[in-house]
Amino acid sequence: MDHAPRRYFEDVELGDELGPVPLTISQEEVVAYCRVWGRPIPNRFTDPEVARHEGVDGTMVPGPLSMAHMARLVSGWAADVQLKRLESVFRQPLRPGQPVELAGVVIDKEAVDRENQIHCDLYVRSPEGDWLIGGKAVVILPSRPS
Amino acid sequence: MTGQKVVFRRDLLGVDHPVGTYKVTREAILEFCKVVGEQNPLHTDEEAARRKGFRSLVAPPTLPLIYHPYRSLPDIALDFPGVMTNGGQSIEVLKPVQAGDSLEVKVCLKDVYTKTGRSGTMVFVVWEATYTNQVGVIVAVGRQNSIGMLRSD
Repeated sequence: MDHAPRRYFEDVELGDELGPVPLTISQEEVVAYCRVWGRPIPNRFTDPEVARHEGVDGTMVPGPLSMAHMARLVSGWAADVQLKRLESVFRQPLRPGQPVELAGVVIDKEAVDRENQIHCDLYVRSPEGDWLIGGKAVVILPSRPS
Repeated sequence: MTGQKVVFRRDLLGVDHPVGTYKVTREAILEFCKVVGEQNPLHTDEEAARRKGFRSLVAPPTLPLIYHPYRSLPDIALDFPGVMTNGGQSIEVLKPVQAGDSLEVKVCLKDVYTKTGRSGTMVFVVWEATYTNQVGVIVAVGRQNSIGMLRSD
């Protein structure tokens, strides 16, 4: 059984949505990610005192961890999707424990050099609608078997 | 504040700086997936990855970012008294990374510039990391924009 719906390039339309999915990244997950990252603990992402000492207002979710979740949104959208490129802009800090929503929308599709490319806008936003992280993804989908 | 020049080591612009070589292990891929909740069997099930034509687990596309050389960035001697934070990142996957691959990581200072907006003048430092596998193929390219706010005098 597929972990995500089967989607084919021909079936995707502009305006199709990815998610939304609720997301809350705990401080424990941030610590676990720092271990995988090889980042010594404590650091500005795991300890408020270290963050303050480094001139940062409290702990926040590392950018790459947010990007891993944005990639997971794509991965959960289509079974055979390939993420070719992911860009992110960190507009406001995402705090550990902060409930947010992860979502996206298809903004373009084109066949480039025999690649079925789908272009998506992705975003992480607060329940109040504040846009914390903006992103763009280029993904590749297979064609429907003939 | 417009057009404010930033002092830094301009001789480092465009120069590749070697960071190190990292083995992408099956364990690292599985732990990464466990931490972020990735369930795609291409990344978690070796048999499923082999059925798709891969020799082993495929790394999630943002996994190379854990080899980002935050500690190994050369000191560009940026004349900036404030805190630099991560303003944005990108990763482009040119070829899937698999368990067993070795990634040679290099980082290059691409640009340093200022911009003035409503909240003041900001300095941007752009780094690019390239990830090359054991047979000399560049498998991924990542960019990071560090941002700091210049104090007004």
